[in-house]
This record gives sequence, C-alpha cells and structure tokens, in this order.
Amino acid sequence: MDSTTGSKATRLMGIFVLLGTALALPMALAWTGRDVTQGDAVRFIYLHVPAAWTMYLSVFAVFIGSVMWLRRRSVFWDMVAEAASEIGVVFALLVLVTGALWGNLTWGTYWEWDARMTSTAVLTILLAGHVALRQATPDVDGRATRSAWLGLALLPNAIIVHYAVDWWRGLHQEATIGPTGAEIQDLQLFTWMFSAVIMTTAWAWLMTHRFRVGFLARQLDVGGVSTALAERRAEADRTWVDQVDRADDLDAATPVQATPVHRSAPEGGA
Amino acid sequence: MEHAAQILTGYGIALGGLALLGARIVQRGRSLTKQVPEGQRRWMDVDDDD
Repeated sequence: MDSTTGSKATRLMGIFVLLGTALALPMALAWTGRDVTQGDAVRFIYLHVPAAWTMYLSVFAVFIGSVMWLRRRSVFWDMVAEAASEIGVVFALLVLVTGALWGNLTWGTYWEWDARMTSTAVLTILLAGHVALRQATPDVDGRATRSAWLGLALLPNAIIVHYAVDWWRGLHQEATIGPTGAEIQDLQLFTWMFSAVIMTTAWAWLMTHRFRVGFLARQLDVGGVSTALAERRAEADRTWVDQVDRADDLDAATPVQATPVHRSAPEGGA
Repeated sequence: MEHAAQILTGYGIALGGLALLGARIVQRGRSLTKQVPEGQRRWMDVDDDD
C-alpha cells in the first residue's frame, strides 16, 4: 500500500464524515419539514450556513497563522495559514453558490449587491489572493511574510461579513440562530447543528491532509536547496583543484621565472 | 419536493466540490510522499494509511 498523508485520526474523521453525510442528507432533504414562508428552499440552510461557518473557521486559522508567523516566525503556523486559505477559498465559493441558488428561490435573483453578499465576495477574492500570492513568491520567508500581512486583513473582512445584516439594511435575512434564540426548532434545529458538525469535521480532515501536504512540500523544498548547495560546493572544489593542477604544470614548464600561485580556495566558491 | 432541481444541484455542487478537493489533496500527498526520504515523513506509516 502506498504511503499517504493519512493517519488513524484522519481515517476516523473520514469515516465519521461519510456516515454522517449519509445520515444528514435524508434528514435535510426529506425528513425535515417545509418552511411556512420559504417552502422547500429552506433546505439550503443545512448546507449554506455550515459552509459559511467553516469559511469563518478558515479565515480565523489564516489570521492566527499570520499573527504567529509575524510575531514568532513560526513555520508551523505559516503552514496552517497556507492550508486554511486554500480550503477557505473552496468553502467561500460554496457559500456564494449555495447562497445564489437559495436567493433565486426566495428573492427571485441569484445576485444582489447586498452588503452581506458583496462582503462575502470580497472575502472570497482576498482568500484567493492569499493563495495566489503564496504561489507567486518563490522565496519561502518572503512568501510567508507577504501572505501574513494579507492574512491579517481577512479577519476584519469576516467580521464585516458576519455583521453586515445588522449594520446595513439589505436583502439577506438576519441570523437564524442568535443570542436571543433560534427561529427553527426540533428536527430542523438538530439537522442544522448535525450538518454543522459534519461540515466542521470535513474541514478538519481537509486541513489535516492539506497541512501535511504543505509539510512534505517544504521538506522537499529544503532538501532541494541542500542538494543544490552540495552540488555547487563540489563544482567549486573541482574548479579549484583544476586551477592548482594547471599552476603546477606551469611551474614545471618555467622553473626560473615561475608565476607565484595563490593556492587558497576562491572566495564564495561554496 | 418543490424546486428539487435547484436544491439537488446545490447539494451536488457542494458535495462534489468537497470530494474533488479532498481527492486532489490526498493525491498530492501521495505524490509528495514518494519523493520525501522515509526519515522525514514523521506521521506516515505504510501500515497506517487511509
């Protein structure tokens, strides 16, 4: 069997996600009731809101990773930020797509320049920019530092996304579950929470695997640099030996007025 | 179920997208693992795979 980035923990998480999804799908699509005003469109709540929650988780992970890199130059946290931004882009896109489909059923339009939707689109672009910036910068430390500064800008944007429905009047509805209580009950509430648990576990599974991929890539990067340095040193040594050999030949050919030969290794040869 | 096509499309895109992302990440890990020397793989064990 090939070696992978898996482990017992990820295998358990994967099984939980698969079984949980198999149970959550009929709950979300059939067993829960229709909404009085939204009808069956309410079934998007079991998908759209957990996706938004995991998008927030990704942003928070990128932010913490960025802070830890800038303060402590922590490679571990830099790799966490890298993994979280890549996964966060996908969850943010899911939020936009499921939101557009839900919006078309309830508002009659896929898109409106509403504060919540617009700020979510901006957050998605910032997350994608974080991924692109990392891929465009070959220098490991420079890549981490530049993306960390961008990572810091993500959290304020996520806060704007979350509170946009309270701060500005728009098309998007307010939070279904808030400090004052929930607008859904019983099986609907349970299904919503269960879906959120499944989605969060799927996020953790993806994060773990993606983090390990980043770790492996870094190992290869470091290993590749070491190999290149060793090859450069060997080449410099060979050049120096050739020069010494040529100087010895010259000494033998002109014994009286031989040119003095400097026999130390050339500077910067390694 | 009313609007079944749109609702199922949304669920299909979400589940399919996440499955593709997971498969791509695992595939990248599998490919990189082969290139990294065994001593540097840390958590990986050929008897303890997904």
